[in-house]
Parts: sequence; structure tokens; C-alpha cells
Amino acid sequence: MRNPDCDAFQQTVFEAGGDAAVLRDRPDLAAHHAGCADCQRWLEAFSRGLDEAGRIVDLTAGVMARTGRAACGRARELTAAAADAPLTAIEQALVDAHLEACAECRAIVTEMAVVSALLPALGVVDPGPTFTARVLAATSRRPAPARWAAHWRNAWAGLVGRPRFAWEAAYVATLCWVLVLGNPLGAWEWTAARVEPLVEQVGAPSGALGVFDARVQALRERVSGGAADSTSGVTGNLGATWAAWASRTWNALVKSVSDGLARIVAALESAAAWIRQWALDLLASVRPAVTEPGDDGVRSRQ
Amino acid sequence: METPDLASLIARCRAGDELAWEAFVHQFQGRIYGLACTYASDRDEAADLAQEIFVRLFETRTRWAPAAEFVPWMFKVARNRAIDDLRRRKVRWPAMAVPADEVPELADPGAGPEARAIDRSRLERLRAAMRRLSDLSREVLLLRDVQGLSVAEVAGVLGVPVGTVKSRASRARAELAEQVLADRGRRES
Repeated sequence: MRNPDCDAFQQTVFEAGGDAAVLRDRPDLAAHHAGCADCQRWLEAFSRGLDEAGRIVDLTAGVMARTGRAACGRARELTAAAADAPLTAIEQALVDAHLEACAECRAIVTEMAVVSALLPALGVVDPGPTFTARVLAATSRRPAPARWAAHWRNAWAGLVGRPRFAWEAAYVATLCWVLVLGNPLGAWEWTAARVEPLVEQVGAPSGALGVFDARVQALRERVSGGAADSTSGVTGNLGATWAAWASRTWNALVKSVSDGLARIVAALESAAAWIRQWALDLLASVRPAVTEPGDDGVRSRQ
Repeated sequence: METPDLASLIARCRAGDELAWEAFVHQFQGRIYGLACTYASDRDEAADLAQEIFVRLFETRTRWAPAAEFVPWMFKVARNRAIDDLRRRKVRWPAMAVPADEVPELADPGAGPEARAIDRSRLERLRAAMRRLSDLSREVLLLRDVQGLSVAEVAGVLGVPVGTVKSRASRARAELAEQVLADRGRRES
């Protein structure tokens, strides 16, 4: 998009017939001319096309000066683009014709060739004799990268490092609270009223903790039962030596697995007891606040 | 000294061969340091930046691109590291104002008569003229004409369309030549 200041400058100078004296009378135009390379080139080209009396002496220069300077820009752009893709025959012919008539563009194109030859020299620079040793010292202190370990470490760091991680963690915690205990934003009375029957039913099969407890017990029975009858099918079908070895190995394996499962079950039982105790403590702490209209005082929980 | 081919060098570096890593650093230090010089404000900063780029490459060596795509990929890593560095220092690129006597020497002064003939002041003036280009034009010129990547590779590194690279490159070349010519005119007048 053209600069309006350039338009104003060129229009005024054009109307003055290219007389540079107009710049002395108009400090704003003189200031613009001093700072604008485009308008300097325009005035030069415009002046070239006129004689002292303002008559056109170079038809091409005069016409181009009055109709815009797009031809110079286009010629330079095409010449520069030739480094990436060769010009078509007509483009090359047009550029050649322009360069023949425009000394300024010839100078630019010559300089472009010089600059293109110089630019690769900026690409490879000697960092000095100690640089390699310096890089090797810096990298030797670092452990060799472990592909998956680094991947997961980076993924975790990226996850935790995000600004919204705290909000997400709070959201998940709130969601867990709502799913287990109910609405955390409601009154304590409401929450306590919801939790109380739940905890009271711990021992009963229909309660949530009761169901959890029953499942843990069933798991325990399956683990102990599986260990007892697991060897019968193996020993009967193998030869004496291999059967004995396989039996021992199998027993050891089953014992190891059952011990592990038993430890997991014990941990689950412990967790269930802890949750039950925590819920009872919570209820005990909020008991004075739980009241019912029409009752004679604090509602009994026992 | 015979330079190992890039594919073998990359494969050995990925496998953790320390000798291959040393050869890699030796082979690419001139180009990486040359790139760092255009983003840094002085030689020490350029050396620090180039070292950090190599450390980054070392840390990610198990994920290096294959040989055919390696050089553009390496320049992308280097450019990202350099831009991170500029952001960290809170300066706007180009920060460089290298005095004439600090302009680095050519990597291989014995490469040929042409290279020997290039004097430091011309290179310094060329760098100064490049600093006056817009950021995108300068980066396009840096990758295309200075580092010799293809138009498609430059587009991949900068994340811009191929057409943008072509138009920017041709405009930047013309602009650079105009500036160098104008500088020379000012000096002579």
C-alpha cells in the first residue's frame, strides 16, 4: 500500500513541474524527501525525464515517472527471484529491456550478484580452537538420554508445569469428593445427613463400604482357595521327574502370587477400616450442627 | 581428514558413540556458530548460544531426524533455542551490534582466493545491512542464501508457506542490495 505522504509529495512536485525549488518553500516536503528513499528515487527519475524548461526529453523516463515506479520494483523482484526459479523467456526479455534503460536498476542488480556471492561466507564461522572441547565438556556431564524415560519425564513435566494444572487437580479432587460424599458446597448438615446412613450401613450388605468390604472378603477367599486346589491338575499329567519339578515350581509361584494378593487384600481391608473410621470421626465432629425441626434437641446418631 | 557421511554419523550419535558425537560437533560447529552470531549480541554470547544449541541437540539425539531431513531439522532446533534465548534475555532481535574488529573470521581462510579476498569490513557491512531487514526477511535470507537450504526446507523451518518464502527472499535480496549500495554511496560522498 502506498504511503499517503509519498503521494502528496509526488503530486505537489509533479504539479510544480519537477522544480526542486518547491522543497525550499515547503519544509514538510523537504523533510519527507530527506527521509524517504522512494521519493528521492522518484524525484531523480522524474528530473531525468525533463529538461530545464520542464519539457520531456526522455520519453520512457518521463512516462514511468508520471505513471509510477512499479517497473523498477518489479524488475528487481524478478531478478532476485531468479535465484530460486529461472525466469520465463518473456520475463527475462522484459527485465533485460528495463535494465538497458535504467541505470539505477543495473547498479542494484550488479550489487545483488555481489551480495549473493558474499552471503554464504556468513554461514560458516570459526568459533575458535577451544569450542569443540567446551561443548564436549558440557555434554559429557549429562547422562545419555533414555528414550522412554525422557519421554515420560518430559510429558509429566509438561503436564504439571502448565499454569492450569492446579485448577485441574482441584477439579478432580472436588469431583471425587462429590462422588463419595455428596455436594461439597452444601451445608454440613446436608452432607452429614447423606453420609450418616451410609456409614451406619457399613456392616450391612447394601451399604457402599459394606459392599467394598464384602468384595475384599470374597477376594481373600478366592486367593486362599486358589492356592489350595491349584496343584492337582498339574501333577497328575506330567512324568515323575518333570512333574515333581513343575509341581515345586508351580507351588512356589502360586504361593508367591497368593502371598502378594493376600498383602493387597490386607491393605484394602486396612484402607476400608481407615475410611470407615475417618467417616465416623467426621460425623462425630459435625454432630452438634445436625438438628431436625420438631425434635427435642440434637438428633441421635446411635 | 575424511569426513564421515552424515547418515553414519547420525546413526552412531543416536547409538551413543562419543567419538561420533565429537565428530558431529566438529563438523557442524561452524554453521551453528554462524547462525548463533546472527542472533547474539557479541562473540561470547554467540559462543554460549552455540554451546546451548549443541547441548540441546545432545539431549535429543535419540530423536534426531533422518539424514535426508537432518540439516533443516537441526536449524529448526537451533532457531527455536536462539529465540528462547532472546525471550529469556528480553531483547528484540537483532540485538547484535558487533564492532568491526569483532566480526568473526571466515572459517577457512585457505578455502580459495575468493574467500581470502573478502575483507572483514565488507562482511561487517553486510551483517549491518541484514540487521536492518524485517525479522522474517532476515531469517528467510539467512536460511536460504546464507545456509543454503531449499525453499521448501526454509518454509518448514519457519512454518510459513513456500510462496511467502519465495516472495520474501526476492524482496529481501533486492532490499539488501539497495542498502549496501546506499551505504557505499554515503561512505563515498
